[in-house]
Amino acid sequence: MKQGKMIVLGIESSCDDTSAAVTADGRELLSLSISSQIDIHTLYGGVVPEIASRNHLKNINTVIQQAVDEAGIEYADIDLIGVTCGPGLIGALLVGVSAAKALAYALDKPIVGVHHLQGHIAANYIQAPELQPPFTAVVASGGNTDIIDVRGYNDLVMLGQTRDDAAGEAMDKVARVMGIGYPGGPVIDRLARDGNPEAIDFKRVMLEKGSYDFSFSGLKTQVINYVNHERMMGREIPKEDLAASFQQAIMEVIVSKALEAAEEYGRNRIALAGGVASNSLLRRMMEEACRQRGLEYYRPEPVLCTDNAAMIACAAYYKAQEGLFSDLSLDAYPVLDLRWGME
Amino acid sequence: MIVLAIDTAGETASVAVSDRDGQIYEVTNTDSLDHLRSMIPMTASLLSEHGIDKKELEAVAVSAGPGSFTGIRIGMAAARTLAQVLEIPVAPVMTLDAYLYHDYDAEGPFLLCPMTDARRGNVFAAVYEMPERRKLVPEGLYPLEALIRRLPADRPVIFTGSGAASYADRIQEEMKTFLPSAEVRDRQPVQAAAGAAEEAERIENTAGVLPDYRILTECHHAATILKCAEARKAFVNYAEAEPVYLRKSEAEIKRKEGKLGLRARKRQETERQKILEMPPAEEVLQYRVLTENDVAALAELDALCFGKAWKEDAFRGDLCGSRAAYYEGAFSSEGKLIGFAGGVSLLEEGEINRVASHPLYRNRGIAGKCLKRVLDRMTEKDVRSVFLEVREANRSAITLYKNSGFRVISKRKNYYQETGENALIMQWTGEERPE
Repeated sequence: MKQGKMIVLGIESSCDDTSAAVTADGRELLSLSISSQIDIHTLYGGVVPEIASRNHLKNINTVIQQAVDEAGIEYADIDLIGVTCGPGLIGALLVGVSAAKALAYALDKPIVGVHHLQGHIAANYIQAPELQPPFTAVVASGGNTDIIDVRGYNDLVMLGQTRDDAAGEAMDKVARVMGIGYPGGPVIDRLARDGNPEAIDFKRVMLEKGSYDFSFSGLKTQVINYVNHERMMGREIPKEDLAASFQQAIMEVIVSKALEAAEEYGRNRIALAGGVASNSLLRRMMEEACRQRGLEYYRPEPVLCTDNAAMIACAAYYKAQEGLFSDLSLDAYPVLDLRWGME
Repeated sequence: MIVLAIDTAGETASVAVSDRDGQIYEVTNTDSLDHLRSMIPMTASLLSEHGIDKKELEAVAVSAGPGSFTGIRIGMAAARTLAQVLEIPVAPVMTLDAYLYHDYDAEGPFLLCPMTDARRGNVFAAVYEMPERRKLVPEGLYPLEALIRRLPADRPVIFTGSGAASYADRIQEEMKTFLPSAEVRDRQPVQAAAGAAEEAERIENTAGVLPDYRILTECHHAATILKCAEARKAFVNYAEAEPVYLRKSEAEIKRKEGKLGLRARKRQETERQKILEMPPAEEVLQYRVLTENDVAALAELDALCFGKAWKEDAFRGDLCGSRAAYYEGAFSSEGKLIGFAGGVSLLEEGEINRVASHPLYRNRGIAGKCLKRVLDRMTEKDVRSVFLEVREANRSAITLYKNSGFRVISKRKNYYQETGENALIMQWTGEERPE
């Protein structure tokens, strides 16, 4: 406790960012330390699990120390440890979980394992102090494209997810085909701003009526076929138009499914989360769509959209509020049901 | 010394702790590859069982490898974090070194060959002359057969470690063909399945005669790690405790070997950087005078920008009031209001009341341009001096006004009632305006 507030240390290491953060009473962010490996993995055109795991171990204690120091607290002030325990790369997850368990044991403090997606959604609580469930959440990243009905802080219901590629994954693959490197998201976003989103007509895959699932692999194939065809014809690829049209096709589907879900479940708020939530087109479209329908619109700042420990600390706080603790036998899970540890 | 030792480099995890009297207690998880789940709970119960408080710990020893990468990382992450919080040093122990401190219950000189499985028929191994602990073959990565052929045939050999367990059959094969006598070739090797106690019993059964070689399949050896750490006293700060990886990751090897199409990737990276560094996309914005018809759009944008927003009526008050109004807006290509500046004037004196821009369109000089258009129109109406007030903490707004030619002329303490913040009063006279 510090100044009567509950201090939570969060740890996140599910993919290629090693992060630790300290929050007070859940939403007040005291510090956030992130060690990104993006420059390393760029060399390989994607995240290499073994390299990611090695770097997590290299960085984990440094980010923990930074988070504690920057928050201006002592280890003894920590009331709770929150850690991402899945889903993610197993070798990466276990570095964070092992460190978190050692902390909890050494400090005699409780530990809460947090589902990575629950964390992403919680980033919105830090961003918007007034936001409370229920609302419709869209989590889009390199590994996920999900529509989640948030009924309570610890009552999340998965309405739909991607059946093949995640939105960010499709963007990475298209960027690779276009020869503009990894990761694809920011560079496609940037190119698209100078392009015409209606220049190339890519099909919007909505799947069967009433489904909140996504499928982006067909769109990805369309783009790749288009690129190959243009190259075969000896024509220059209009990169800006291609990026704009492709991005438009992805985001239109995400926005329309989110709106449908909000309507069906009677929610008047929509919150974006995950790395793709920092995409400027998605933010613009979702904001505009929410405004037109009189819905409240929420999205975290870009730094809270990427994988970070602040969101994990926040989610851990709300789990602890409802007594949903883990214990020292906590494990790491490469695949994890969204409702894990909520009942 | 009270030391905690963690071994998660092998198939099963074990932890050990020494008490003040030098007594060592050890516990092993018999479930294989259950390290992450079990290691801390095992530690907790071992310590409490022997009445040791974790705050009494003076060091943490940990197997640093070589071994299973994943296993080593579990142990290393925990050891480093415990040391970090408890403010004690770490003793990283090389897996092979630890075997030197195991009690082999053997009489006379023998060769010790600890090895870890490095896959594809390779072992990371060393050979020591025991009991002197003298190195005969240095630690290194060897094909199993090559290592065995380097062994002198004059002493019995003890093979141990995870490599010995994985390659037990191949060691037996190799030893048969390597050792010359028929008697040896036909002798069934004595193989211990579990710990040292059972092994000792078997040796006794063969009437004190050591076989030419033994294979000890390792089960656990946190206690051995602990003994090695205490004997060597090689303690480091937690931040310096590093795992020993046998080799670079496959991806790194391929990259070094040029098998990843690095040149193509470099080209892509250059291209990517070029795109990311392009100046911000310049959407063509429309600037025009705002009128009473725009109050709804003004109120909406205002609500988006300010905690305490102006309602439509407030804007209508300015635009339709008795004083001359000057409102300038910027519109996106879709015709949406995304920025504005507005004020009023009476005779030669003007006042700026509101300046804002849409969050998605900030840092593009839009508000500044609107403000300039307002000032230009005021100048046309012979306004000579324009005032505004701004929160002292609003650095970005103050910068914007300074860049537009405003100067701070006074400060009003506790001007904003809700927050008690100070206001700065700024004035523009048109004279010092930088072009």
